[in-house]
Amino acid sequence: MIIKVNGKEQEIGKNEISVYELLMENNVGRPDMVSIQLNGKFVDKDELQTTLVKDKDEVDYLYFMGGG
Amino acid sequence: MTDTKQMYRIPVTLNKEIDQYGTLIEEYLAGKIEPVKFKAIRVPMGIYEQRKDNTYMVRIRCAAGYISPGQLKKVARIGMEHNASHVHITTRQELQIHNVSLDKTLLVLQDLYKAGLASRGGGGNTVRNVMASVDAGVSKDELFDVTPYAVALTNKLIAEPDSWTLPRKYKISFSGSDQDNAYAAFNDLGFIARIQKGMRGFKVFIGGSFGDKAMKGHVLFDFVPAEEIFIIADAVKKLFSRYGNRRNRHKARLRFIFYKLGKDKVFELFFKIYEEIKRAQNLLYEIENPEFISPIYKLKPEVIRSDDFNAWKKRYVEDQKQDNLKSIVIPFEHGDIDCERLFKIGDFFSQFGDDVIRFSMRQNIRARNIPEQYLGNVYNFLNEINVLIHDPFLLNSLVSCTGADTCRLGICMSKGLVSSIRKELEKVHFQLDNLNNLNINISGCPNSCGQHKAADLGFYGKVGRNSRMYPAYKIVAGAVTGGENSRLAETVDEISARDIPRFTVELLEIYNACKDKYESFAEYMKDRGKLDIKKLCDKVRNVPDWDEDKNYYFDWTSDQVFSLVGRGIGECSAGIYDMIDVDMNAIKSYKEEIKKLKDIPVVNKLLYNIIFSASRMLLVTRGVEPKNTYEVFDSFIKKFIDAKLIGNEYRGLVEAARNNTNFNFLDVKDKIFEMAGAVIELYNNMDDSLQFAIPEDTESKDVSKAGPVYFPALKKDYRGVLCPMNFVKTKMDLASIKSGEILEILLDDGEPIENVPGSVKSEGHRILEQNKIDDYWSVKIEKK
Amino acid sequence: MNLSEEQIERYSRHIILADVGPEGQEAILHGKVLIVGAGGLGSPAALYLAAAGVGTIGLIDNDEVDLTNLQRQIIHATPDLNKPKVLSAKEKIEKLNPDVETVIYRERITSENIMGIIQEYDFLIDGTDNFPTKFLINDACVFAQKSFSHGGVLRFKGQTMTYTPGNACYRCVFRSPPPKDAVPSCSQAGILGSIAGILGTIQATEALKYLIGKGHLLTNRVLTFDAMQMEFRTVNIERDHRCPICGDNPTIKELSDEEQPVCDLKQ
Repeated sequence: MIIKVNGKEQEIGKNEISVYELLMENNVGRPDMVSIQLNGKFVDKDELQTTLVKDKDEVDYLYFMGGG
Repeated sequence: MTDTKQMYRIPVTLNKEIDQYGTLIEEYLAGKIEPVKFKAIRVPMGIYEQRKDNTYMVRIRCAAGYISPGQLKKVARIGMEHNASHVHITTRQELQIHNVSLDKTLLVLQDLYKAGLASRGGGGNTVRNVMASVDAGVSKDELFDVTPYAVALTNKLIAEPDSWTLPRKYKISFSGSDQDNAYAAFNDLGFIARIQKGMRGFKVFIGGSFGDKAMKGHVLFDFVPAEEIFIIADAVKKLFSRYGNRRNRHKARLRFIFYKLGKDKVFELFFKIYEEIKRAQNLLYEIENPEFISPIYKLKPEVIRSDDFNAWKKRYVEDQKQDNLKSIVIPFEHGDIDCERLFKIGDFFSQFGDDVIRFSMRQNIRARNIPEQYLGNVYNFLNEINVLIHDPFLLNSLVSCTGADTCRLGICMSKGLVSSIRKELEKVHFQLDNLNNLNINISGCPNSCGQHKAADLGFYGKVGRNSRMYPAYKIVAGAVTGGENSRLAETVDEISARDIPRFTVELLEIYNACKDKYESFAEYMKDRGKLDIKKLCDKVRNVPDWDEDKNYYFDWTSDQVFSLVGRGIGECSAGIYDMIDVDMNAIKSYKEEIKKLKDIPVVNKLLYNIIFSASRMLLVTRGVEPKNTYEVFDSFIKKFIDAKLIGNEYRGLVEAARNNTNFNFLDVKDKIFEMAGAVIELYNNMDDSLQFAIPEDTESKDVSKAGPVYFPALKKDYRGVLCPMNFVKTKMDLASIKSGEILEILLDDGEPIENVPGSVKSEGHRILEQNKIDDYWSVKIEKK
Repeated sequence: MNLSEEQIERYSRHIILADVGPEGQEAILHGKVLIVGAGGLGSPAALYLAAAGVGTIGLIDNDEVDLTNLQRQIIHATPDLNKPKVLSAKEKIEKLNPDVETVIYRERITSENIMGIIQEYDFLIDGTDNFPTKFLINDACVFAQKSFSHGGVLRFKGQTMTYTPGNACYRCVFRSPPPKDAVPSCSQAGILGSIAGILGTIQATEALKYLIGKGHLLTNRVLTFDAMQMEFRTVNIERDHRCPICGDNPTIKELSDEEQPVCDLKQ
């Protein structure tokens, strides 16, 4: 399937994948460092494993940035 | 910021016209000018006398039904400051300030001018408010937003002097789709949006009206590109001006030319003028899109969870084509609001930007562009100011004209009937929400100010008679609006005013029970509706005698026995005929008096008066408004005797009157009567368009030569100031003057004149003229 | 319009703009903006707002100018070392534009003082360097219904969003501060100085737009950029009904200070 991550297309070798697995796939080592939107809706931290990403879905990672 | 975006552009001449009006009020109050002449100026200024003595109403032009919240606040404040009783929303999407005393009307006009609003053309034989679909720009069904076109056409028409001297009123409307919710097919000139090969344009209707001898407009063009609206509106205006009936105001509207000459002939005349204009001038008017900056919302959403809130959303809130934005109907009984609440409404909705208020043809405010999350705020606000938002929509959408309360033409109290129908409807047992889309319209007389001819169910007032008079209504039903498929409501029957509310409820009960079978009320009418109406009418056909039930002889909300006392000539009729009639009647009465009198000096004076009236009577038809007696006689000699319209044998008589009021007129009494007779005969033989021997061509040439003269409110010399500081300073100057006022600046040749006017123009101001003087330039700018 | 000849000349490039004009400049001159933190983000923001003629600029910061600051905190200069940041900043602003009134608060912003301070201002710029304060500013602004611009930078990246009442807040995106060790501190991670400049000027632009009331603010959107790729992206967000502070059933009802400054650049 093909999904969009941060606005860029990405090919995944499966038909669906959990958000958590996607984070691992994309080397986001610490899921608590990032806020994730799936198709415009925020995914709760405790639902990362159960929420599935499907073909044509759009995922955005928003990282904590605390510098000023 | 107190930015109050105005929609249409006020002509530069208005300021001067308001001043002139002020002078006329003074003269009128001092008894120096006759009421009829004052009225001829006052009514086209949008100021109508009301039934109560010395109270007036000011009608404000709101092109496309738009007003900015800031302007709305200003109107409310003007109303409060000048002790107006209330403000009224009209079925032509305008706003009226009611019950202002005559001396205050001048202040009202001046204040409106400052707020970027004009009342010119509110009444009389003028270009009236240009209407547009109330949902233009937000409707899911429209082809495109027609607002900019209605505004651009307004800007053009209200800047042209010949828009104020038409045979009768000239009404224009724009609809965004074939649903024709702005009744384009029933205006003198109507436009319905069309897109052809990707190009914006309009289907054009001509000659429509809801009024007496109502007519659906003829299709003039199936499609014209949008820029042509200016040429078409101009051509229709000229057609109307040339061929319209100026003699009889009851046969003066554009449609009567069609009745008289037939469609083919009128079309032929139209296309001749249209081609002339097209050939003569390559007019290209710009359509400016009014740009509204999206507002920054600074209020916190109020969350409401109640059944009443949900019911309100269903009844009064509509989706827009813009996601998440909503339109809201804010109803007022009879379209009336007090100024205090009006101010609060302006104030509240200013939080949602400038494009937030339109007036609807159903006399409501339609708030638009409200983000969904703020519906709670709106609901709470409307509740707070006691708007009737808890009732089914139908109760709040009954439309009527003002009726015999205030209109001097009115027969029945249409407003009273609305209240009585409302009360009766409140008692029904079925869900009125089922009948949300039903249009019930009432007019107090056969004129269609309450737009009963566009109604599903409508009534218009008439006099009923048995042994005495009683108020009654004709029942009309089954109108369809939608451009070419439009159909006027058909007259079905009539009953007494007393029985109308009960009748309405019973008919709606029957309809509600079978409505699922029909697509619309009009379909129901086609099938069994008319029969149902007749059956209901049969039950109340016999009106009880006066002794049996006096109620039938009192109109709704009236405590006086029904009569026609106080009915007069409509205010709209103000025009030159009234002025001509003054002199003609004077001549007749002088003649009568002379027969009875023996006193020689008095008779001599009356004979002089006859020469004077005969000389003055028709001057108005030549556009002459004499300021003193000499001018009366001189103009008569020039325009009538020199022009060979009146025999040269009367020249000596007029010259004698001019030079010596004590001349012995008695010796030439017969000659004087003869001359008066000749003038009256000329009048009787004048053709319908006053064109009796006016050499029109030479006259219009003179006008074009003169050109307008502008009076700057501020003059600045920016010679020696470099770019871009000259532009910066110009902007500062523009900020300091009022909209519509003129700034004159002097600029150096070269870079300054090449850049500054262009930059000024790109910000929406108008360059009126730029002239080279020696080595520098003078530029006149009208502030937007 | 009460602009002096000198003001007309000074702000001429604003006045020329159709969407600013004399009216917009007047609004700026009457505007009041609070900048929390006179550091990497606060420096450019303060300078541009001062230059634009913002009537009152509030500055709150408890630190002194440190040598490690000068690589990016451009309102301070070498002679200012060890001077309180708010004083150093005030001097620069006054030199730049005498039209501006500078109000300084030489203290840490806390749950105790924040409500009193922000009520004086039209708009806030978050130029802080730690999460507890970023959340505190968000929470206080939601309570007080004040609009503010959030900003954060790290290495070559930055992010910013604008909150106005009724729209998505910072907690709609990030529920609560990250665990102490989850996000690398700037002192460990570092930052390219000009990144702070890019972001601080975006925040200043949002403040100016807010004052003149024109344009689309960064509400319900997060702007992120990566200077290494030199890519800018906006991600649309929505107000979250489950948000602990601005959602339908808020669980946060009062302000609190959480410890843990994650990005103490002095170490």
